[in-house]
Amino acid sequence: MNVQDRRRLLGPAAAKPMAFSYTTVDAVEKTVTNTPPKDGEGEEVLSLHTGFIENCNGSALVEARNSRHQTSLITAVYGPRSIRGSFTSQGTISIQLKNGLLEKYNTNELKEVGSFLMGIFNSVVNLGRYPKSGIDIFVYLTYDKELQNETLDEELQSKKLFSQISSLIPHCITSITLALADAGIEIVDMAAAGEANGTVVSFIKNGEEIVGLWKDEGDHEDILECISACKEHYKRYRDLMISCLLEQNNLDAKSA
Amino acid sequence: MTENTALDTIEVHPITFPPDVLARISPELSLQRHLSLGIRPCLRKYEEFREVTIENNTLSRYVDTENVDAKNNILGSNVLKSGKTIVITSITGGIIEENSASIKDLDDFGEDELYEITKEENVVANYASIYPVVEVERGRVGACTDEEMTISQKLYDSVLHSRILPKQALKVKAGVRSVNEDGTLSVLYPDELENDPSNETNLKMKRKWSYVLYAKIMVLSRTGPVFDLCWNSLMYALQDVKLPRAFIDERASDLRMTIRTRGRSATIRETYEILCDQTKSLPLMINSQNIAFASNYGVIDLDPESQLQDPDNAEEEVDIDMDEARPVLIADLDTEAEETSIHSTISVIANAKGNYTQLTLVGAGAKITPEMIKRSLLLSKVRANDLSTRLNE
Amino acid sequence: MQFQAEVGVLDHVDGSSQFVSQDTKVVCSVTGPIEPKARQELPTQLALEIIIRPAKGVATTREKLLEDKLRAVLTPIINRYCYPRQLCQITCQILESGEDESEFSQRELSCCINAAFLALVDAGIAMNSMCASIPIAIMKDSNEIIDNPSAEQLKTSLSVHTLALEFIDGGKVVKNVLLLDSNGDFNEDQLFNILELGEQKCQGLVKNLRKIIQDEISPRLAA
Repeated sequence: MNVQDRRRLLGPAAAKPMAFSYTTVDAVEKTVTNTPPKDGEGEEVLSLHTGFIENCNGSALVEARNSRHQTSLITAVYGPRSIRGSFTSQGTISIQLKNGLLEKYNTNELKEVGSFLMGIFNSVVNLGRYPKSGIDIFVYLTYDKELQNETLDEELQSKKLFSQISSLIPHCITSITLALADAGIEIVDMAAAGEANGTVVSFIKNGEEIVGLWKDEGDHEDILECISACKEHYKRYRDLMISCLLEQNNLDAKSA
Repeated sequence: MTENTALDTIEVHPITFPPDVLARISPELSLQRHLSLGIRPCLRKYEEFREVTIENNTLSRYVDTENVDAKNNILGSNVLKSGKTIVITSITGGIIEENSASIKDLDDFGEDELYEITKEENVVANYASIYPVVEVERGRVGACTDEEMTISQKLYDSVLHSRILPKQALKVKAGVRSVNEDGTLSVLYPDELENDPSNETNLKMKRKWSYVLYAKIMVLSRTGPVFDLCWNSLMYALQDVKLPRAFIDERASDLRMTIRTRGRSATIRETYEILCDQTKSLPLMINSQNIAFASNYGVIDLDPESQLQDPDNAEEEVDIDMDEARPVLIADLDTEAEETSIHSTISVIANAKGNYTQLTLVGAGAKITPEMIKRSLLLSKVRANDLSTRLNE
Repeated sequence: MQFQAEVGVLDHVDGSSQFVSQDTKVVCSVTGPIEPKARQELPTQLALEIIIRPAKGVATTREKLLEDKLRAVLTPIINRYCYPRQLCQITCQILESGEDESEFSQRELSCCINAAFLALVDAGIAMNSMCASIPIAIMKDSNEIIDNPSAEQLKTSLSVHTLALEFIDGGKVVKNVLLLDSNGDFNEDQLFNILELGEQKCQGLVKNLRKIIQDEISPRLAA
């Protein structure tokens, strides 16, 4: 028994998690009959909110839904706050990704994405303005659900699941950017990203500068094609973010 | 300068702070100033609760009854918002094989008789609890805090002693999966075949399983004490839990094989997993009359010295007795000021009928009078009444 | 409440006590006031470090919750402003739980509270008031209120309670309810009956606790 276990009520050690059988036939049949009408894959509905968490400096909620899956993630920014230890001439960013309700991704995967995001925001946040401080960013993947509209055989489905985290990254970037703006932390530009075929490209400055590139398994025949596809997403997300922030600003001005 | 030192008067300049600054540097004074005006720092009245909104079962695998979400293992869920605080509860499950020595053999009884027995033996030993893990997000990484640990344990104890989850309700009525003549798989559940007694006896199994329930409770945007929010969210979530049906393979239902290791032979049972049905589920049969809701209160003495004096009635202030502290009851504590300056607290779990399943009275500050207790019990009852109707809206 | 108690049972700490009631047995040690770690230090008052160790196994969330309740009881009765920027360690080792630990903790909590009070006095820590604690159960069927119930009685009870009261004026006046922790199924009338009966029983208990302290101190004063 390790120390971690004693601090949590984890139940009897002999209990096994529920294992659902994948061979019950009628489950698959039903999904076929209930297929929602396909409405163009790329058209996802995005809803953005900021500033709803009280005990942090800035927060954002991103909910995205398209015909393939439904995602909801919450970002909380704590900082700039003082760090322990010796003087640092610029701020340090830490980004933690946390599994929400569905324990879907393993910690290594999340850590990898976390450090990728850290790379992006190290160049997006104006760190020189925050000496001796730390900015801690927490991203909770509250909800991430695959909508079953295609009957994939199991092999294909597991493959899909594997590469799925790449499709989450653009939303993570959107929500972190929004939360940073909500916290009033200086950023060079609104960062956003797009995903195409397991490749994620993140841009700033109207797509003139690339701040991050993530490559997963998938077809990468033409990287330039991927980049231009991502750039389209980037522009859409950026415009949505800006209108969300302006709206929030108007609301605040009205209530003040 | 030298001749009038004795007469030199010291001028005292009052320092003024904006309300939010005062609240940071002296939460106690800020709270007293607010209370003297008849309101609290959160702008609620003394006995006013925060509005609660809930969304039940939106995250569970059974959210769409027609189309079960195969990759989701959440059996019941609740999202509760109270003021600025958000509590997200998700209930998941596991299965444990029961130690045959520890279970009473109640197999020969029918369902109704079983219910009668559990009702009669209304002792804690016949009830189970849920294993909660509470995470209060406050922007830190590392080991869980004392608050998270005590809330988890208190939830566990309270569910157990509230007698909400009979152990009987968690028993697995396992089915058997068999291969039909044409090569397809089918699952038979003993209780679905009541008109066919021959089948039922065939399906008797020697081994027994029970479900184990876990709750993951995430608290976002904590602004005050959160035990009662966690409890209420858990109560809502529990009421909609569905347990998946479980089955085992016919071939494995009672299989032994002999193995030889280093010249010695031994009989071992084949290890196999009990599997859960993808679509079929049964509602969790909780003791719904014991469902109760939590609320919390604080008792604080109004400090006469902190009272704001009305400049128009300056003459009346002589009437205020500076020694007499008047205690008041504050409902549904929130904000840092209330949490740090109110030391006498009452936490109640009540059902709508006026029965109580949990009460914690801590009198570390102002004296808790019987009147205060009576009042808080009454408010809890009214509050429980209100909260219990939310699920049907 | 029937009990046996002793103070000054340990040599290497500032104060200690042993409290036995039925099958429940607790040893408590108090060390303080001592230098705190930087993170424990409170600028104006005494910091309390409270540890409860179970009879068997290692401490879990169950002991954390007990510690939390013990802290709630002890904090107001200690004159904390006498010792700014200092620390007091209070450790209760449960030797025998005397109840089913998976379901109940009422007996252990009460004994820990009483033991900690005696050990604090033994350590000479400044106190504002006295306290006494008893476990109570309301029985199924008969609805009888039983103080200091046995492990068997707890098992067949309808509700279980831990009561701790604060006394001043030589144990004659009840100042406040320090803790009432109730679990099970009970109503308002029962609750007030518990408080009433509990007040009587705690008053008797606090008298006995005073006697024990008196017996310990008077020979020292005479010498």
